[in-house]
Amino acid sequence: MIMNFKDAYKNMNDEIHGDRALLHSILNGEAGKKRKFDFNFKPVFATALTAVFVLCIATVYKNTGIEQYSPSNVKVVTEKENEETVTAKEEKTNESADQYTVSDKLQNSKSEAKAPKKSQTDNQNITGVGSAVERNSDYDEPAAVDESNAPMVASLDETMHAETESAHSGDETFDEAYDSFDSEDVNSAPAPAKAYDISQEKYEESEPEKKSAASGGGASDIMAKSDTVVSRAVIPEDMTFGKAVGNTDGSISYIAVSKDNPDRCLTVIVSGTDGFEAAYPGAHHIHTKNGNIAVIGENMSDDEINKIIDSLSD
Amino acid sequence: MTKTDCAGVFKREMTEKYFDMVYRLALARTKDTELANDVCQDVFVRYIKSDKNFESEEHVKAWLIKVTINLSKGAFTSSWFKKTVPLSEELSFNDPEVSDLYTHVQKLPKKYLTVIHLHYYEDMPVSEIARILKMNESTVKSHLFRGRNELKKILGGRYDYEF
Repeated sequence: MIMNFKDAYKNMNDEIHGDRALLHSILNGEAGKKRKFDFNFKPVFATALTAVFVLCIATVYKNTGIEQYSPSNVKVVTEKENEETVTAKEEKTNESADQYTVSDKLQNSKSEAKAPKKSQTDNQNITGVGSAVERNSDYDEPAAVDESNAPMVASLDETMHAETESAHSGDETFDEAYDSFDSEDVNSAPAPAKAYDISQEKYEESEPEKKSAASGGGASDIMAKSDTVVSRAVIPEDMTFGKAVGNTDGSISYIAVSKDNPDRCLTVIVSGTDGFEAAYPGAHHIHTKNGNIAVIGENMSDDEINKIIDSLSD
Repeated sequence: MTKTDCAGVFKREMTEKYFDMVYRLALARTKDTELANDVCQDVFVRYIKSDKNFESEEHVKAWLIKVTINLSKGAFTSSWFKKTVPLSEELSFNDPEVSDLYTHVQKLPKKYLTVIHLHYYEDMPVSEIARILKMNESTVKSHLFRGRNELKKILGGRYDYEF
């Protein structure tokens, strides 16, 4: 039987139907849509933000010296302080040229650290911290106390006390403080927020230090890093030691950070070059920004360190 | 009813009407049901999204046929097609003779199959096929002639068809 190809082909195609479900999905807009980019940005953004924040903090508090200018280290100078500073400077200029007296607080800056060296070479006389300790040229023995400098020490103690009080008074405005700010004051300024008086520490039991050392506090950090025996803690209880950095003058600085307030920090310097180590072999001292001094002895007994502290406090 | 709504309704009607036509043409070109489905979907997505002003229903039909042929060509050149082996799904027919015919027609070269499909199923004259495929009429005629001869050879002895 002869069939028409056209009819046969039509019959064949009529039996072929497209996918009607597909057609309806197209008409309802369900098909043909491009898949959305399914990516959750929130956790990625949060992680990136945290990383940037941590990097910023690490950069700011790296050994750039910027920590010296943190708010807790900026001195607020009052008129009374200015007068006392001028008086202290005048007294300093009246001192004999063959004897160098370290200022009321040992200066942290490099320029002032070099000053005692010069006087050492000239006169072989060194005056210790606030106690005017004299030394011979060979630096073998601790020098005798120069009694002539005692009045100056007393006045400096008064100055420190007055500074502490004025810092707590809060009478000065920010503008006044800003106008009277200079770099010299920064180096010698006590921390206005919390002045830490080592003279009080001297008469206290050493329990807190032992406690902090045992609990991994700041004092124990010093012991671990400098391999010395800490006899007096100078970092307040609410602060902890942070990063140790080397200074250009050979000394080592530690950054102490408040446990409660991360914005409050303190830079302490374990000096290795100025006259203190020469005056007291085997002992180191720490200058704090609030004008206090702590003594660290290398394998020294408490009695030996107490003697040094007594001599400094006299 | 706004102009946009009218256009939407018209497109929906055209889609419903020519969906099977597009699918069959795609199947004739691709010889694979899944590929034909993909081509069919792409054709109508393009049609629904297009802002082209169609003059008439015939214009729409011609546009759909042209796009189907083009997309069927593209289906074979896509990297997806080159990298994968399709799971061929055979169509089932009620009549075994029709099934046999489908099997043999699929063996024709694509260029002949397209012309035969448009001529014998869509009832398109040679001139319109030539216009849609952008070919000379003589080329379309020669393709029809050669396609018929091929089919005669393939189907000869089993079925006696009159072309």
